[in-house]
Amino acid sequence: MYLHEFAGKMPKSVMMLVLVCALSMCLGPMTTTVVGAPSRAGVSEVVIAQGADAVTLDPQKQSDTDTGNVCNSIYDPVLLRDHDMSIKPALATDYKRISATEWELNLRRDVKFHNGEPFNAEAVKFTFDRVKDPATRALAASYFSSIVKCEVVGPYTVRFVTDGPDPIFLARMTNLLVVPPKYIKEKGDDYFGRNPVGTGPYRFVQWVRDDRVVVEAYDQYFRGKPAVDRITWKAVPEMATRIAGLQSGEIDLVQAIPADQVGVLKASRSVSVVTTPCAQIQMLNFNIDVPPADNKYFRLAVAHAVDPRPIVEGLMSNYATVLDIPIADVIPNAPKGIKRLPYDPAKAKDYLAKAGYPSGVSVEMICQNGKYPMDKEIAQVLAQQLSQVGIRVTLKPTEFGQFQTLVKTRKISPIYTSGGNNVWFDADPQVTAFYATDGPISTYSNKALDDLVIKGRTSLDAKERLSIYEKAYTMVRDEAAGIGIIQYTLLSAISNKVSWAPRPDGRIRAYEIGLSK
Amino acid sequence: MFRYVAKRILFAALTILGVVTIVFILQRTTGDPIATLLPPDVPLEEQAKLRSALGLDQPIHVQYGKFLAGLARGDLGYSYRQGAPALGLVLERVPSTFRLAFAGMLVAIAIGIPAGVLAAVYRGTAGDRIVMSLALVGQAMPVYWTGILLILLFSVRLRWLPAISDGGFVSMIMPALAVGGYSAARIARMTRSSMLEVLRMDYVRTARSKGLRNNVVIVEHALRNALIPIVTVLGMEFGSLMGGSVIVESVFAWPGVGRLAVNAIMGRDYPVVQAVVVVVSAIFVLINLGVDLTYGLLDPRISIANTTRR
Repeated sequence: MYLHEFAGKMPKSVMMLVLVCALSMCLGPMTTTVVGAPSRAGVSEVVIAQGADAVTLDPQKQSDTDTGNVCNSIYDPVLLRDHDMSIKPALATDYKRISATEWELNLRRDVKFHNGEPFNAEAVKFTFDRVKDPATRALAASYFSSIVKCEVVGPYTVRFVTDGPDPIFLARMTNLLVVPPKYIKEKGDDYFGRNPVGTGPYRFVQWVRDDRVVVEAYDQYFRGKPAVDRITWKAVPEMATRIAGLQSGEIDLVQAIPADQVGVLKASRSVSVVTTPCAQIQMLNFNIDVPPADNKYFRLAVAHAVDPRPIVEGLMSNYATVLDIPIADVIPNAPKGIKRLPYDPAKAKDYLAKAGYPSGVSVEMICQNGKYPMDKEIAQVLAQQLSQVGIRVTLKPTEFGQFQTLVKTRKISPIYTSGGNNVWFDADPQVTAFYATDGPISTYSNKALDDLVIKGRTSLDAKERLSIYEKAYTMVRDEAAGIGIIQYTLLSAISNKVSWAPRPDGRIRAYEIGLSK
Repeated sequence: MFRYVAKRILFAALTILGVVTIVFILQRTTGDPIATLLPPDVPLEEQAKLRSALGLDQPIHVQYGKFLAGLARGDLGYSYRQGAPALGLVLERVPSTFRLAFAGMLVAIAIGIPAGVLAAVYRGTAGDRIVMSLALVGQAMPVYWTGILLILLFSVRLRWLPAISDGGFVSMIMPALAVGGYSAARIARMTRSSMLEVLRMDYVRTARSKGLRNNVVIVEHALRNALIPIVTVLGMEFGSLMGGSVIVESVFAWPGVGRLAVNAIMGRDYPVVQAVVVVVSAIFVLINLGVDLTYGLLDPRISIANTTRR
């Protein structure tokens, strides 16, 4: 039978039914969703657009910022990092260090999980054991690498044991989001990851994959009911679409706006731009396994040849600051008084001649491409500056994953630019990662620097550590192990109905969001 | 007919296996997934632990063998990032991509075919030139740019339509226009070309000489025959749209397969990438099979039985 015969025999009513069914597929729901409560009149709601959806709602199986923001609205940490980046009580009311490797924390007694399950020391131990259990495959396990065990000392007291003195133990506790033991044992990991229960300021309502997570205020929250009744975490990959959403009123909060979009947003009467210095930086590093980066005079030539000021004033429209050493000044124990080697092209040429390149030298420079704001453009400016002193750069923008592989295998170019961040707000992980011989992304090696790093990592005296990092970063500058370029200013935009200030760590904490009067 | 379909399905399975194998190998040359799963300053021992837990420290042929064994059972592994079954993550998003692809095809057909017919019927006139110019512009405009322009006009300036999808019909209009507009341009040009050929045929002259009305001649006699090659194109277009309109899904935050694929590729989430390739290849191959079978229904001169006897 051919189509024309088929059409002739088929009643028109059946054809119409087929057409209606086809159209209803377009009108019907997009995906399988968890049915949640629809918006109600009189309920205040804030919509936050992030670049990606949460990958899971199990806080221990995630390590990215967007998922972390969502999870931190549903769960609480043992200790929290406040807006000023100081560490404050949260589920733990106080703590004390009872030996170089033991910490004891007292817990709140008035907290329940959203499903009524009680919060206590057993819940904290369960959380810790679960994150360390290889069967959990917890991406967050690496945050607790130095902690060996958690013991229940009393119904509301726990003791953590570390494998050595750990000066960032308290910072680690800000990443330990407590989960409900009984609920997980009953429902299993998979179910829990899609139907989370925590003690946090918001309880879970709905998750439409790749679209949104909806949470509602938990009115029995121990710090007081949140100011906003409902938060929707919306996944919007394109920044242009997020900005359009702000302008059209669909979105209330977007973080990490590019500097070139600030003018567009400031022109909109319904949107405000808010800023804060943050821990993100751009730096120029050296792979000393590849000549001429193994030559200190070459590195010093580079240090004197680069000038971050045009980058700050031109490329970043002053939404960045010049970085003297490769660590952001918002890190509490980052040295504050060390000045960068001055921009001096004549001196740069002298050092280049001393390095054995009086007529200049050609080098490859790899840079990241789209991982950090304007990373490729910053590298282009630096390449231009280097060419003016005779260092002829072939620039190679490289995708982040490939970049990381090159760095870790030490096959990267002799000079390269790199973005950096600091999730711990402590100098040790950053100086170790980038400049210690055994640093996971280090392409530099210096025994004297290694000795300082180990001293800093094993000391629990804050003043002593400050002095150590002063010496360490002075060495980084004088040896030109790495060169600070800029410290980013975090730009965010909020609708006029929202009252919120961005955090230097770049996290969005739902409890800190309020409504304008 | 049955033998023909069975043979095509067998070839399809071999094609999919070949594609998946190439993707399997290529992925593992692009870099270390651990680099994108963990913060860069995580100690090397911790990275090694995760690498071992995910089986990434084993030789590639061992990983491939395990993958094939899983594929035979319908198990395409677990997403490194989301910890959920990779196949399930892809299948969850297929309806979304299907809706967008279907809506896009409706737009493409609703605009493209009438435009192509008009251009052919009024060949050489100003109308023909306008339609073909619009078709050329439509094909030249990048979909990303079209999408952003639509958002700026209809969401930001006019506030008629939402910039960001919320699952409803209204939020599908702009993505469907962006996707369908591009396909409509191509279909319009193909339809015009096919119609021009058919309108020259003797049977069309015969139909006119019998005194039939012009629209009857065009629709019942000419268009029906001109559609035969266009059906092939429509099938291929739908197949590629089902592959994931990556750009449109990203611009409009549409939660489809394309967006999942991009996120998985950037994050080196190997199981999800492989699952996307398997599902999309299967859909593409099945659609092509459907198109070939439809050909036989449309054109009485084509017999599947005769094709298999060759």
